[in-house]
Amino acid sequence: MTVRTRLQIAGAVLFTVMMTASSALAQVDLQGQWGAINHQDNMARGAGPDLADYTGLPINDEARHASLSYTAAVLGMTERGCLFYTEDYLLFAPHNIMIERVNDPVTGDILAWRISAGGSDRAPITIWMDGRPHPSPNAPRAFSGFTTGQWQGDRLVARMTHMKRGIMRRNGVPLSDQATMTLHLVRHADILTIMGIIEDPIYLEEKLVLTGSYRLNPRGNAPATNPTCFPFTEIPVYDEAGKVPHLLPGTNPFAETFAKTYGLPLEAAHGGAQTIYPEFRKRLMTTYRPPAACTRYCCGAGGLNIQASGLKCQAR
Amino acid sequence: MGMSRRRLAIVAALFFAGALVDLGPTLQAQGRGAQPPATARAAARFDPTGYWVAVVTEDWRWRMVTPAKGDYQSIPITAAAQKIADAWDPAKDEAAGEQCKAYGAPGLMRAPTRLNISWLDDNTLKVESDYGMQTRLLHFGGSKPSGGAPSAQGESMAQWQGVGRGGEGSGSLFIRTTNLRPGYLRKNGVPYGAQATMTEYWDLITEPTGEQRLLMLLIVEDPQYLQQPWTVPVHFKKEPNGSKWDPTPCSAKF
Repeated sequence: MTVRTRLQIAGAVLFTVMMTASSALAQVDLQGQWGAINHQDNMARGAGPDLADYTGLPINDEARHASLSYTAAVLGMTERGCLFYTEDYLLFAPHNIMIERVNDPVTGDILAWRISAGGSDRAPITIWMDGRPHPSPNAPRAFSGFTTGQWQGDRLVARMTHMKRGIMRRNGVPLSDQATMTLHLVRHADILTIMGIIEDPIYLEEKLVLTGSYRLNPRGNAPATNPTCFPFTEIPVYDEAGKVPHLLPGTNPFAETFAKTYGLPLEAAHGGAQTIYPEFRKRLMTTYRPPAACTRYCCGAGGLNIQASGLKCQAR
Repeated sequence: MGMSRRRLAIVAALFFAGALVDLGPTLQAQGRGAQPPATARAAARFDPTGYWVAVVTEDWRWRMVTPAKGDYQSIPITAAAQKIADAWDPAKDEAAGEQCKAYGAPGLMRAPTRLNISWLDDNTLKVESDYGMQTRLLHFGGSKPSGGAPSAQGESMAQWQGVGRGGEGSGSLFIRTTNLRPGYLRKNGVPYGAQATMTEYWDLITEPTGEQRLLMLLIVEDPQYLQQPWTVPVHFKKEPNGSKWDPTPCSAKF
């Protein structure tokens, strides 16, 4: 074999290894319609959480006070009507999603992955894969945030910054505009799990980790995009013009309702980092008084047809 | 007209190179050539050993405490399951020595517990909980369930999965648990039956700070008591040591 032939073979082998290796490491296809499973926190994701239910949230005192001052009347203000739709809503919303790959029209390279809003008022999340840097910390915040991603093996890891002030639960627990969010997208067979790790130096004592799973659904019809929240007066405003609806400290009439309904001590119902670890149960052993029976929101799981299944449930 | 020797050599080389790459993970997992297959410990895609604590940020009211009787929220139960759950009597369970019914594998993995994970031997991963002091054994190496008497933790067959050459995010732990003794998915008596199985995928998440989390996807299937597979993620955080390990016996009530 001549030197030229050997070089040609070596080149061909190298080329093949590179191409094959890159396909082996080409990670996982995330494209498609994904149906939300909602087999945990079904009520909070669907109908919505109880007022002053902050269980499982590692919030600090400032967040607790801000949460207790919240009243849904604030959504009647045009400038606050979109408060619920920061991108972390992905982690506690009930919606199906569509994931698209955005290709460079010339090179075909993957520019980005885009997670649709799933019909909610949240903006689609664009995860840039082309190595572009995050904007300056002083750049304006947007409802869509700014997100870049990279593959770690078979897992897509995306980091979001530049989020607007929003919420971390739909009963008014606040999220500050200093928050960041890291998403881990993990696909196993036809199930996609999205794990979000939220950091917020203003309102969290420690990271908030939330997860949700989705099943690939070839018949899904979540739109790739939809009109995102735009400010308009959605509900009547009964307050004086210019007044921000709020509850002053100590005046929230529902501050203890959830805790009393479920027999929980207030410190458990109002969250905090200490409440999310197993050792907190010891304090609950003497303070938890469960109701004799469930009387409201007892059934329901991710699109289950309760009537057809023969279940007899206290729905509310 | 046949191919020249040179072209044949190139084609053969290409085929060989492609095959090598395709087989890479398999060779890595099983040992090369005539060498004996690598053990599960040697072939591990990540290190699951150590102390892990459940971080209960989801379903708090249903996981951290025993919810009210008749609260089946989020679980796709059947009418038959509802009948059993409505008859739940923790005092009766305790009197019958059945205080561990909520501590079988499908209930245990969502419990407010710490896990101590270690290698029992080269092909068996041991998962201990301080909550209810349970032990699961995850068997690797293609062994089959023994078909013995059903038990709370059942029989778990495990397998490393993944492509590439190892490293962060390159693989998962797949576990299939069968031969389960009937128990509770939730402390308030939401049942799973003798035909229930559980499939798990474990992934290691390492954050830039070095913190590690285990993300587990649990899929419980039960033709008797579930209308659809109960599919829930759960996550644990790595702890530096066992200083917070607190063995507590089973309790049917709390």
